[in-house]
Amino acid sequence: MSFDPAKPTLLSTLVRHYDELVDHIRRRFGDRSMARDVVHDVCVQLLERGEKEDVRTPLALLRKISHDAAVSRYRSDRRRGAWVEAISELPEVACPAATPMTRYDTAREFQLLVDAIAGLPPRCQAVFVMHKIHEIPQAEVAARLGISIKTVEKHLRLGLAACRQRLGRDEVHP
Amino acid sequence: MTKQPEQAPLDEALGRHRDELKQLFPMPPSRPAPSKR
Repeated sequence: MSFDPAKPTLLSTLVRHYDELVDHIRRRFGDRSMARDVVHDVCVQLLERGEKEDVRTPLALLRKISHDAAVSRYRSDRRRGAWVEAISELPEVACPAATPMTRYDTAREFQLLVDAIAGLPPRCQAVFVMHKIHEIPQAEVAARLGISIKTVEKHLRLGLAACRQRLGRDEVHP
Repeated sequence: MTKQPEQAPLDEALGRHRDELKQLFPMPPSRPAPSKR
C-alpha cells in the first residue's frame, strides 16, 4: 500500500473532523454520547482494517460510514429495548408447587383453626361449623337450630374472633 | 352479617382447609323446631 503524506487519509480526516462527524451523527440521532461512540467505533474499524486506497472525498465517506454505523447501532438498541420491554411485561408465573415452608405454614394454620373451632362453646361451635365450614346460609342455620338470625350472627362473631385470635397469636402467613 | 374488612384472610384460611375441616367437624344435628299449637 503506497502512502502519500500529502493526501489526507480517512484516519487523519477523522481526527481533523472528529467534532464535525460527531455533530453530524448527533443531529440525525439526537444523542451526543451515542454519536461519540459511533465515531469511536469507526475510528477503531479504520485502525483494524487499514486505509482504503484512492478515496477522493474522505470526509464524505466518513460521514457515510458513520451514518451507517449509527443506523445499525440504533436498530440494534431498539431491538434490545423491545426485547427487554417484552420480557418485563411477561406475567410472573408463580410456581404451583408449595415450598416446604409454605406446606409447614399451611399445616400449622389448619391446626390452629381446628384448635379454635374445637374450643368454642357447643352452640357457638354448631353455628360456626354449619355456616363457615358446611356453608349453610345463616337463615337456614337459624331455622335448623331453632334460634334467631341475631343469635346466629352473635355466635359467628364469637367464632370468627376465636379463630382470628388463634391465628394472629401464631403469626401464620401461608 | 356484614363482612368485616379483616375477615377476608380468615375466610381464605377457612376456604383452604374446608374439606379437611368438614371431615373433622361433621354437620351438627338440627334441633327440631318446637311445634306450634
